[in-house]
Amino acid sequence: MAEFDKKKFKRKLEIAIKQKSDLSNLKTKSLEQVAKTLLREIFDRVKSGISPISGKRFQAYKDVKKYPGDRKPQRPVNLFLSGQFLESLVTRIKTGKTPSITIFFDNQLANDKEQGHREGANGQRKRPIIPQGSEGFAAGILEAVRQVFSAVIDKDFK
Amino acid sequence: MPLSNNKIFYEFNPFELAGIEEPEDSDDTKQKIADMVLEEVLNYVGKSSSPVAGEGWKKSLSPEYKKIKAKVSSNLSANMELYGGMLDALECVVNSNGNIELRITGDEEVSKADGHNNFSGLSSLPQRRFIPDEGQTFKREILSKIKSMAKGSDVTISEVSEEDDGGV
Repeated sequence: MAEFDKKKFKRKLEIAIKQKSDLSNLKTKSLEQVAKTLLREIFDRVKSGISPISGKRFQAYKDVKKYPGDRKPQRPVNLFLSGQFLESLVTRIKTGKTPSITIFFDNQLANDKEQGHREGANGQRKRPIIPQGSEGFAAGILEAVRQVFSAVIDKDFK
Repeated sequence: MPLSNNKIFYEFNPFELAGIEEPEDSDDTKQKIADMVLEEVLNYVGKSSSPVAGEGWKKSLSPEYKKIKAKVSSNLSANMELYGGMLDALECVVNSNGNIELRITGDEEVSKADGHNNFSGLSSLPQRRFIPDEGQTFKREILSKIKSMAKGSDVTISEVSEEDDGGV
């Protein structure tokens, strides 16, 4: 199987704090905690039918008889059927002077599904969950990440 | 009164809540806070939980309503959602007073919303408040985010798009 393009749907968050220009002493476990928060906030929102990009509800399905039919509730629209798509969302952290968290899908199928959501494939409404270009994560997600990051900085740099 | 025939709402000033003076260039901050509040309220409701301090409701439905909802949806929890119209109508905006307003407008949706929130005192449904009434406020987690965003954070997050990123 050809190596899928890991770069296609990924987003890197570089985190900094005003008082400290060098965060090399930030512990790996602390940054992992921040990454877990990011994932959890995204999952929570998507499961509740909220776009992690716009912060607004995903629009209703166009033809509820066709999809979702009997497979699942017609509202909220939460991109959840078996769970495989959302469970494919993972993070990679990088500690150092400017710590970062990269979020991406860890398999081709999930990547393809995100592409379908992004493009509105097969006439479905567009429902991407990874920001691209000038898009960004929703305000509430970023604020949750900021708060956890502040807390771990306070702990690691006491 | 935060209820009329065609609007049910909660109005607040985030800088007052944070106990600070409102800066001159606050429009962008207020909009971001409004966006965050809407997300958080929808998030709480989606988990069958109230975003209003001191309020809450059982996740389970009455047997009678469960039968009704089961004809439409396999989600049989009290998530304020059958066809989605009421929650689709929920918005959070910066109003003409320069305050933030969490609201539902439109006769039909306001009627449903008051059925759950019972600002009128006339609803016979179990109270499931997702909009704070006068004298109420949001749960601590939401308030904390409002105050933090109003005060501004020392933490900056830069999102790097794939074109700018040199490698995985």
